[in-house]
Amino acid sequence: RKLPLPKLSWADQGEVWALMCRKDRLYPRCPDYLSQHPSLQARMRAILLDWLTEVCEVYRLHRETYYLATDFIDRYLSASRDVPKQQLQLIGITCLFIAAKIEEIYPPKLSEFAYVTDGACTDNEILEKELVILKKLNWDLSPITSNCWLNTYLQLAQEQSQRESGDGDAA
Amino acid sequence: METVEEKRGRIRIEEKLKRYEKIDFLGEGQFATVYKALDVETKQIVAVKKIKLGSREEARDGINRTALREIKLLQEVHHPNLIGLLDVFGYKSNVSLVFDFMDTDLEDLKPNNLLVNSAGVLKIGDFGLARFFGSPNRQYSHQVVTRWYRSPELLFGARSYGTGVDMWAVGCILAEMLVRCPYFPGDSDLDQLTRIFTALGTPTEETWKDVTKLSDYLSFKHFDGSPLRDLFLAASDDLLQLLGGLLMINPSKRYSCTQALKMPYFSNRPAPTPGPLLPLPPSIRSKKETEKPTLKRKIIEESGFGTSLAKKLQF
Repeated sequence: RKLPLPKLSWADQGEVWALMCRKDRLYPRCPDYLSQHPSLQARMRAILLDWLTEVCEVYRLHRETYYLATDFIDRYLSASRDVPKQQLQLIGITCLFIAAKIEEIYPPKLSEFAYVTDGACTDNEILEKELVILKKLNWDLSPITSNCWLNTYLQLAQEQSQRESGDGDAA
Repeated sequence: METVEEKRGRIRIEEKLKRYEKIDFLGEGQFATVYKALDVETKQIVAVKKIKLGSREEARDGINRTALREIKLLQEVHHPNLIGLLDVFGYKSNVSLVFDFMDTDLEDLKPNNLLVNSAGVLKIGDFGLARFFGSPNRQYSHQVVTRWYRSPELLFGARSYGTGVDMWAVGCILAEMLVRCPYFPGDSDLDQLTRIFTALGTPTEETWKDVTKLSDYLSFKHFDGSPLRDLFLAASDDLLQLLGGLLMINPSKRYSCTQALKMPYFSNRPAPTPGPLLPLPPSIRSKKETEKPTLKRKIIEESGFGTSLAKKLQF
């Protein structure tokens, strides 16, 4: 893909772009993974993600943490088959638990993650699922999230508007 | 009673323990115990780093975050000068990492984390706190590098910084190699900055634009600083040129890695000693891990919390 990035002050733009593209290839998310899971439907994913945004809001988690969790959920489901819907909340909260430990300076405690499931998932179930998920993800935990792509776009847009207003001043 | 999942986990670990035959105890740190082991499948000598359960408190939060971040980074980077992660196994909080075996002693860029194997190849150890630098707007914690190797912008509380912090650390390590002891051994952040400015001069808005806007900026007594030539009497000019570029107080003037590698120092004679001919320390010293204690998470306000949030999802 053609390099769309302008010169960056903090890194080599070619390297950054190559990395973003490479990550896109290395982190496989199957667009129709739901076909591998007869008991799951698209609206269930929506319910799960909606609820996770609420959890993130209450615990004041960073936006990136949420998108990391989303990536983990989608890749986990892409790599597995026949996941029963009863497992979905456990998978979701465990992915958020992992993402928070990676991304947050002060991640919530395990019990706080179990608490928000209102008895659906116990501490122990989350701990067991943690390792199952990490292995299924092949310990690949650094995707370029949609949030990261958006950040890059926003930055480009900002630089462009600055350039344009700068031109205006000069004229 | 053991669940099926627990039993499976236990069996997997037993298989792995058979695969990695413990040869020797190498060292112990705050977060891990390291063993030298033989991988019976590949006949390779490896280092097995067993992450400690730590306090019961810590084990309660599953896989140790420092270990998790280290694994995450090691999965990403493959380079002859970075220590290779060969395998990860474990169950629940009990996780072991299998690494290339290094002959010298195993977070950030400081001499303790630079390892040399018997072929004289240097590798950077511990990535406990390393982070991907993809997003420039991200706010990072500024408590990242062991103080002695921390750059002025970090000490002034900068939260968006670049790879310049590592180049500063490289400069400190280079200076330490010249004088054979840590060059800026500050005992507090304030003392750290004082030591840096005494040697190299106090920055001003003229020499470093916007320095006074950094969140922890303090106005320091004005020091002129000394020419590096007077600080490192035995160093050659090309080395001083390199050092000067690395120990630039203003991060935007500091050399990047690419710039540094183009300095004459790296092409001038004498050529580097071939790796295998480098002398090795007489004994393997134990690894000393350091990390700041985890700060207690701020308690979230009760508002908006409780009944409405905790939810068992019905699909």
